[in-house]
Amino acid sequence: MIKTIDTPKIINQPLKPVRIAQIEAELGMLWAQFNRDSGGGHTVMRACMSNLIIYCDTAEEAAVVSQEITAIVDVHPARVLLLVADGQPKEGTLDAQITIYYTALEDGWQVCAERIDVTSSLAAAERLPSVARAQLIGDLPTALWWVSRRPPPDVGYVFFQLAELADQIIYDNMGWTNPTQGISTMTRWVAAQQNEQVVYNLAWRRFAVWRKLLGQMLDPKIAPGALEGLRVIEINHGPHALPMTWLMVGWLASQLKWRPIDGKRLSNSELVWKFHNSHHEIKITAKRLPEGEPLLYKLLLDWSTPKQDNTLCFERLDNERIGIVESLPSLPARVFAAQVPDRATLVSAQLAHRNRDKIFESALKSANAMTAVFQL
Amino acid sequence: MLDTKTDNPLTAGTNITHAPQPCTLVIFGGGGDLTRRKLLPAVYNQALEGELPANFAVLGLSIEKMDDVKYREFARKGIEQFSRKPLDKAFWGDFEKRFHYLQGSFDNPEFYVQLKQRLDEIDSQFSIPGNHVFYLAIPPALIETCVCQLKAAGLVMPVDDNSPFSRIIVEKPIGRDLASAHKINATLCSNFDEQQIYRIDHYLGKETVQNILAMRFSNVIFEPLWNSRYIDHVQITVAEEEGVGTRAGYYDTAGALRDMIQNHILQLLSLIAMEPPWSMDADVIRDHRQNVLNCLRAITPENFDQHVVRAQYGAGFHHGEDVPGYRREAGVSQDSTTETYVALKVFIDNWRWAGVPFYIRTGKRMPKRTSEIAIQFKSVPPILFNSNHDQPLEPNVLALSIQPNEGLSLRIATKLPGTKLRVFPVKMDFRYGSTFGEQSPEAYERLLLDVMAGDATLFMRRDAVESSWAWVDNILNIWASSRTRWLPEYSAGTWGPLEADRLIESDNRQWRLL
Repeated sequence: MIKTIDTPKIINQPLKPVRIAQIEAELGMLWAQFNRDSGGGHTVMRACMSNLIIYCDTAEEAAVVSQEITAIVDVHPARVLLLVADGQPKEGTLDAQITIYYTALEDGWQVCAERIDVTSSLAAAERLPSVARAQLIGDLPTALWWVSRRPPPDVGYVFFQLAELADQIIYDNMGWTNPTQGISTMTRWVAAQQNEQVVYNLAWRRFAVWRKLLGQMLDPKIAPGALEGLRVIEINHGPHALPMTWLMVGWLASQLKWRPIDGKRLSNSELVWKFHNSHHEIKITAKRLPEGEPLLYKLLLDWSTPKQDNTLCFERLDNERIGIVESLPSLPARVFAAQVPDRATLVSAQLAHRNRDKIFESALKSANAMTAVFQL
Repeated sequence: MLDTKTDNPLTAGTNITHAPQPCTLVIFGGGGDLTRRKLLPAVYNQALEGELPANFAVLGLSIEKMDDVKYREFARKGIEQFSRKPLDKAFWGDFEKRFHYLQGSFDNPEFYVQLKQRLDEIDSQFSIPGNHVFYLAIPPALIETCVCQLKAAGLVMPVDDNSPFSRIIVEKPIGRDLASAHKINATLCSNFDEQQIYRIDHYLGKETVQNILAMRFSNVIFEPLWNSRYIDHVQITVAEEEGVGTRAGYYDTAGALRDMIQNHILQLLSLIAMEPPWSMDADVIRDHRQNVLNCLRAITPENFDQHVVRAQYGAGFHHGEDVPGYRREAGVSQDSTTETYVALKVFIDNWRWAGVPFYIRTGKRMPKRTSEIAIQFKSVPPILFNSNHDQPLEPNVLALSIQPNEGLSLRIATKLPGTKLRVFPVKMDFRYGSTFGEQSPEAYERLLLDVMAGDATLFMRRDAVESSWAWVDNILNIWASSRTRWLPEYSAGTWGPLEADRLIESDNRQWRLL
């Protein structure tokens, strides 16, 4: 299992049902009540760095996210709006509930999040952006975390309306049912943003440790000739990690200036791409393991230099470590700390990043170019 | 055009300008207390966070008899006891292989031949392209020997793009006065280029200290007020709870002025008072810090008593327990006149700070361990809410807390609820620990990574060290000429002597209650 964060120092009150029009007033009353209850003349302060709009398609998704909010606001205090599009409101078409999260200081209390849950029936989902618009705190950046497993632009009106409110859009392509189509849709949408919004795929941060290791171990000073001599790469990944694998290959292709020339499915669990650099062909295979977490498990790289053929193989040993298991004669087997981050950690870390990531966008474009040559 | 023979496009977007480079960290004094408590835990924490370069190793050097296996055991114990992250046995099982040890005498040229050979082996084993960081965690008396021997053994590479790097980290104290600091610096600079020398002051690696620059120059509301027109005075306090403890031998020859003021506190002062730099380049920032030191008003025999107070702690209570006075501490001479407390009134003679006093106090055996910089703004005019002369409004105070809780607070006046117009001070607090819920890295962690990345911003340059000593020497010389046999005393567990209160109260101000 992927590790989850334990943050016992944050406390939250039970969700309180409120009328949509009364959300702000009810939050004020919660504050006042909390002030009275905490007693002793201690001050209650609020720390707030962002508005975080979270969009879920289903109540099941929302229930999982609900467990992650504590860990997120522990690192990044925020006003959280959890929007659930296909829920079952108890009355009418929209339901709202509120709560606050707080932490004890030496001389008082600090509210680190106000949470507003709004649940709509599927038919009323288009009303959600109007609720969000009214509940944002001014003067703070706003992030939209798209939890839905549908690529955001595919959802249409609700996404476009919520995206308009946000400075940053965080999505996750883990588990997309059709990565080829999803990547294509996202690439077109990102390209159309014209530097207005930060768009970020959690998968990009999820394999950051692999990017760092590859960058360091294939550095020309450490492994001369490796980058231009790469010929074969084999990737083993867990279930649901194909979109992430696709993005990583896109990153390699964009950074090393490889041109995709072919791609096809070899079996239900194996794909192959072919690229060309200015000298030779590069073959990359991606194999899905029958079971495991949605992670990259193994990465084997072969390259040739005029002197010799070389192999370097990284393998995830457990949720904490990646090791070199077969390697250049000059490299000893060794292990690097590489904790598998949970989703809350990824989101809270991403909330603090407010610049567009051009390398990610290049990788996304390359991943899209790979879809263009892929034989379905 | 991509040239993968020399460029590495896979590190693009990973903050390459500040990325730690592959290297071997060579620790002189590798079996010492600083190494065990701070350096090795710092290395371990950064490894766990994936911040260290993939190609990295440690080589500890010391006179003590140990081998690699025993050194790894020494490192493990230090990490278990002092690391902010607990020891992960699975990770340590592999990571410990990067720790190596070489026993020898630092004044023996043959030792450096062995060192070179050992480094070649380690570099080859871990694919390290000959980059070395030499950390001198040793007494100052050994610096010259080690530095000259390193150079003689060919272990100091030239500074150019084609050579591996050699960098050296030097711990304080750098000298005990201007002459000795000059001598150490001359030795360092005749063997290493100034670009290769990192004079470490761990205070500068603390989160709040770094936040001084961020707060001043990324918020428009502070900088316009950051001058003599709006600031009444500044107080810098560095208070220690402990007595001299095991450092009596060193401390009795140094005292609070040398131990705290010359380095930590003058560096904090320069960060608070510096003009806005025009770039974040290390030398630009250090130039601006240096300009502050250049403007410190010299303390002379004529104005000495109004600007300087020194004292020693006497017997008293610490957390309810009896503790001895300084002269009764083990290892301290019974007629010692070494100061354990200093209070200063300092002026910076430039346009921005003309007439603004900076009150500084530091001492041992104070009621609690705390370090803080407080900017006290001027009072509002004595009209409207401040018209009651018997009860003037408390002025605004911006307090930057450096330890133990890093953060900042702002005191503002606000109306109390009710029909009456009553104004009351409210303190708004921001603490790194409680706001972000993340542990800040230890200062040594940040600073070691900076050296590996070649970023000298948070390290002291030669001119800063020597300017500080030149200013402090004035005070030391006046003390030396006064031939004092007894210093004023303050009871252990109190905030200092009456003389220090008088120093600030004569200006109609008070020390902050911390």
